[in-house]
Amino acid sequence: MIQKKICMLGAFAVGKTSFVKQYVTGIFSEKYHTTVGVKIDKKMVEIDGQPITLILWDLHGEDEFQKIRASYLRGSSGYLLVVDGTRQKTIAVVEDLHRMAQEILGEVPFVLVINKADLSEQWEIQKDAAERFRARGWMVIEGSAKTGEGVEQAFSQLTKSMVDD
Amino acid sequence: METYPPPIQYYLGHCLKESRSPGYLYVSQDYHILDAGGDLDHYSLHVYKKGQCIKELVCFLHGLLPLDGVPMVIPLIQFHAKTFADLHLLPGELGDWVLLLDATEEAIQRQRAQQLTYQQ
Repeated sequence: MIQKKICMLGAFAVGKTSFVKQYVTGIFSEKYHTTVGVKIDKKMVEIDGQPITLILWDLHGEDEFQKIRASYLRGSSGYLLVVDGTRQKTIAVVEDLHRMAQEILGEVPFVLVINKADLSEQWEIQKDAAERFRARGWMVIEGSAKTGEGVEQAFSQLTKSMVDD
Repeated sequence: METYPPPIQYYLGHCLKESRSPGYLYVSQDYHILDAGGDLDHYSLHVYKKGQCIKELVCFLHGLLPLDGVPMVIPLIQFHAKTFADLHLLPGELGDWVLLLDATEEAIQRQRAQQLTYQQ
C-alpha cells in the first residue's frame, strides 16, 4: 500500500484542523480549539484504482512567537497551505511557510486553500488573489471547512500531484 | 559529559518513569521491530511484537525513518484526545530507536495559554 504524508501549514485559526476534520469525518465544529504540537490523522483514498493511505499532519498554527519545527515536515510528499479569506495577513504567513517548506522538502506538490468561502462577504483578501497565485503556477482552491466546499477537491488534487510526482 | 552517582541516576530514571511513561521501539531500516518495551500501552502500541513489520501500522513514523544518523525530536504529537508525547528518534547500530515520552501535561498548559491568547 502506498502511503503519503501531507502537512497542513498556515497561520493560527485559519481552519487547518477543521479542514482535516471535514475531510476525514465530514464533521464541522463551530467552536475553535487551538492545536498544540501536531495531530495525525489517516484517510484511505483511491486514485485511478490505486489505494493510497494519506497521513495528515495537522500542525499548530504559526505566528511570530512560535515557529514550525523543520522536523515536523520530514518525509512529507506534499502540503496544503491554508489561508483565512477574512484575514489578509494570513497570506504573508503562508508565503513564509511555503519558502520554509521548499527549503526543507525541495519541490514537492502543494495546494493553496483560501478557506472560509462561506464568509466571502467578509473577505479581506482581494477577489483576484486566487488568480494572482494561479499565475505563479500554484494550485488554488477556494473552499470552506464549514460547508465542505472544496475540501475533497483540495486533497484529491494534491494527492494526484503527489502520485504523479 | 558529567557522570552522575548511581543513586542520582536511579532517582532521575525513577522520576522520568513516573512522570513521562517512557515507551520504546527499536526499528530496522525496513520497519521491522528489533526490540520493544517500556510503557507502550500508554500510547496504544502494546500490540507490536519483535519481528513485526510496522510500516503500515505506525503511521506517525512514515517518512521519519530511517534516520540519516542524526537524532531528532518531534515534540507534542497527539496520539488520542487526551494523550500527547514527545517523539525522540535516535540512530542505533542495527536500526533506529523510537522513544516516546508523555507530554500531556505540557500540552494541556500550552493549549490553555494559546486558547486564552486567541480569545483576547
